[in-house]
Amino acid sequence: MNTIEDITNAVRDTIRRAFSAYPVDIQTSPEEETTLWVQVFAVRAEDVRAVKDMILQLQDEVIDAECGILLLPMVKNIEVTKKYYPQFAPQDPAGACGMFSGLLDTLPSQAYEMHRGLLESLTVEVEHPVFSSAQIEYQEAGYAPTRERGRQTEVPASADESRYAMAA
Amino acid sequence: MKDKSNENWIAGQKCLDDGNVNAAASRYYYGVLQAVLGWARAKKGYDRTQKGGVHSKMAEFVRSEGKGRDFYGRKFAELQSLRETADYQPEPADETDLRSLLPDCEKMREYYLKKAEPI
Repeated sequence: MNTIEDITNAVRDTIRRAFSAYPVDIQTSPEEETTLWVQVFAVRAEDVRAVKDMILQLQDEVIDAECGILLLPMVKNIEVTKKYYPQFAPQDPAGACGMFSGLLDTLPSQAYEMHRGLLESLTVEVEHPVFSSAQIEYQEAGYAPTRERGRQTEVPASADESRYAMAA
Repeated sequence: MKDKSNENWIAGQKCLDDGNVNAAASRYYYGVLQAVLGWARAKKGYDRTQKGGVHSKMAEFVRSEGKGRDFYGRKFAELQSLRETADYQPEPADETDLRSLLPDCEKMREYYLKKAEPI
């Protein structure tokens, strides 16, 4: 794995698997084409060190030692993201706040994880490719939905990879 | 390169004392880079005609040299991240991060300055 494209994809995928809530953007440094800025945004303070360490570890594990490609960790906490990179900042409850894939019955807990510490409560609207939309309202205290509306009751196995748009 | 490395390192200290964190990140980084570059020229036969840019090449040398190569390779990458943040990104370099890196970066700089000396 030596091409910049392969490395970019591998690094992005690995970070997203471990820290799915954080936007990742990989760019070439303006100084050298073989130096990659690995930018991760809106990272909670308690995760900053772990995200940096993961990027530094990827340098050793993913990239051949002599191929000359260098990963630079550029991890932005929530404050920095909101001030300087608003396009990557967590949205307020009035706007769309994220997209992810997975079974519909895990949606409340995923949404909770994505917004933990940022919101007291969240209304989630689900756009499903098969079923009509459902709204799930839940409170931060406990993952269980407090109310469900709509016809959606179960998701077929084939829908595992479907993408659900979530809007608060 | 030793004198230039020393000059940049001292300038970094002064910038940080004056509260100029971005300038400090840049000077400290070049203080280390020039120490590595001096060693690479003296002991590794490095010259500018070699493939790759000087920054990534020095990082590669650090990651492959000595017992502490993994540790210092990571510290050097973190210092370069701060320097490129200071130079190109909209936000300032993080002062806490910079201060936490300095003890290890100073050891790294001294290591390469010493290794560059003739035996």
